[in-house]
Parts: sequence; C-alpha cells; structure tokens
Amino acid sequence: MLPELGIERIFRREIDSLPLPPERAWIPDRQTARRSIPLTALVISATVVLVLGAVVTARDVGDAAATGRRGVTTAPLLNAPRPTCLRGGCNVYRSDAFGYGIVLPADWHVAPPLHGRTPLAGALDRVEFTNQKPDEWTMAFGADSTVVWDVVVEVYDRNGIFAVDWARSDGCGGNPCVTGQTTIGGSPAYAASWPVSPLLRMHAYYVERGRRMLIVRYVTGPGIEGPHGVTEQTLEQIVQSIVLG
Amino acid sequence: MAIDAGRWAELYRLEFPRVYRALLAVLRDRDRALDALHDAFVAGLRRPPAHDADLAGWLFVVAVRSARRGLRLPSLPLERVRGRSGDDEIEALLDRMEVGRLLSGLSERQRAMVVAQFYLGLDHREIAAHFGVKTGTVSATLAQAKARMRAEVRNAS
Repeated sequence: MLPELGIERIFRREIDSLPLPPERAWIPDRQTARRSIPLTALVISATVVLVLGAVVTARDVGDAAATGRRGVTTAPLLNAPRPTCLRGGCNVYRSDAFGYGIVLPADWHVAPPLHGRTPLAGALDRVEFTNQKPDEWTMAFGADSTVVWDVVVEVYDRNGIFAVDWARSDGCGGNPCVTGQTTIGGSPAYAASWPVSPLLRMHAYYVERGRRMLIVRYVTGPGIEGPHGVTEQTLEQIVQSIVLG
Repeated sequence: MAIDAGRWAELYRLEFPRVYRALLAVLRDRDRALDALHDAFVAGLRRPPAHDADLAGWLFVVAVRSARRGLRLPSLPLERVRGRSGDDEIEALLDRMEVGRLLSGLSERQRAMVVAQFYLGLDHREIAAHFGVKTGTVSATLAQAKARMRAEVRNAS
C-alpha cells in the first residue's frame, strides 16, 4: 500500500529537512555562476576562434571599404545623416535613445513592425534589420522571434544579470553552445552561438552597458546563403560595424 | 498582473526554500539544484510568469528543464559534471531518508512529477500545464512511478 496522504506527510517532513545554501547564494551573481567555470577552457578556445574570425572580418570590412567590392559602407557614425534608413538614401541606422549606430549594406533597411507579434517582455527597444522586401519579410520564417538572416538589435534593462547568464537563459546553456569574448564598438561582448533547430543556428552578442543589456543577434540557415545573397559574413560585417555612443 | 523585477526577486526569495529542496530531492546534487534555480530566476527576470499564482510550480519546472539541458550540454566534460562537490553528502542524506529510497528507483522525470505532486502539492492538471504535456501523460507517468515506489516498499519490508 502507498496511501497518498501518508506519502505527502513523509515527503513534506523529510524534504523540508534538507539543508539550504546560505541566503547570500540564493540570487545568482558572478560568484555563484559556477557553471561558467568548467566552461573556461571552452571559452578560451572559442575566443581564439572568434578573435581570428574578427581579424578576418575586420580585414574584409577594410577591404570592402577600400574597394567597394562588398557594398558595405563604413562611414563614421558621427558624420552619418539622421534619422536614417527608414527614409531611404542612406545606410546608417542610429539610435540616439539607446546609444548605438549600425552600418548597413545599401539594400538593407529596418524591418516594419509586424502586427500581432507579441513584444518581448522587458525589451526597451528592438530593431530588426533585413535585406528582404516587405512582402518577402512578412512571409519569412523565424526562430525565437528573429527572422532568419536578419540582424536584430535589442536593448533591455539588465536588472543586474550578467551577459553569460543572459546567454544561458536565451538557450546557450541548453544546447551545444560555442561561447567566447569579443568586442563590439570597442566594448567587451560575450558571444554565443547555438542551434535552435536542426537547420537553424542562433548567433548572439551580449554587451553589458551599465544598467542595460544590448543584444545583437541573427539566425542562419538552412544552408550557407540567405535571400539576395546574404551570407554569415555579411551579417558579421554588420555586427562588427556597430558603434556605441 | 505582470510582475516587475523587484517583486520577482521578492517572490523568488519567498519560494526559494521550498523549490530548492524539491530540486534537491529530484536532482540529488546541490550544485545542479542551485544552478537550475538560478537559471529559473534569470528566466523569470527576463520573461516573468503572467501571474504570481503557483510560482513555486513555475520555478520548479523551469529549473528542472534547465537542469536537464545542462546535463545534455556536450561541451561540458562528463567527469566535471560527475565530479562536482557536494553530491556525496546529499546522496548519503537522501539514502538515509525514506523519501530518498522511494525516489531512488525513479527516472528524473518521474521524480520531478512525484515531487511536484506530493511535495509541492500540484494536481495532475497543473503538472501537465507546467511541463507542457497532456494530463494523461502525467497520470501515466505518476502511475508508473507509484508502482515502482510500491515495489520499493515491498522489497524493503
């Protein structure tokens, strides 16, 4: 016999006697984020990969700026016209309210707001950049609210959460996730990349900016090329073009 | 009513003891339990539950899911997962308890549902909603778990 009232009493009495950690450890902080420690080796190795990638990307951007081959303009943000791409004729988006600017290839623009999409909880700002035409874009499929091959910049109140914890909460902790440190606009950024489905992969950069968290993300796949010839290299160039104010 | 960050931290602290102990019974590892609950806290900060009813159940299930994902993380060497401190003490403590012996023959998923029912007091419908499965699946899982626990009691006596 296993009378349920008896079981409940046993469970409550015995489980209630299990020890608790000290109260200072209840809320996560950098000291208690222990799971990141075993990942140190991975982070270091991923950093090497990312730094090498950044060097290659930076060289490519430099080449592009010099020759115009890739169509990416690296105009300094300070000289950029504003407000920007929504009116056409320019390729720099600038957010004075949230202190960042982003250089876009000529055929890229800010995606229109999509009616019916639930705003992300806690997001102060979210801007999606796309090279798809409006009719294509509304039909595009996405992962985690991000249309594949678009670049999204989100700004949140950080609430004391560190970039590494934010990434884990986003899905990095639960998947084969590659992480590393890089810089965006001269600020340290935590980079994470993980599969969101068998065919799609999320790439995200987390920049702690005082009380705010700036996240740049894009999703790639299936395949190595998106609409109108966009590749991961295009998206990386856009990410690396970000200037922080 | 939506929960703001300050309120969330306050509610989390209130529920921490119960949910942490429930996780300890399921995961049998202090580090995993604490990490998983931290993940649930962060998840709640980012996307708080729609209302503050049954927060313990919400935290518990988010944490259990997070703990499961953590074990699947292929980049984490298995020996590091196994080798973390604190397991032996909790394992030994649970093994001395009746509840530890009852739960020891169950899978982690069965343990989670049993603890959700008998310790956190959730009914089948609530467990199903939190775990994102059908009520029938919960009933079947709990029936199997109880059968194993009965067998454990029979063997012990």
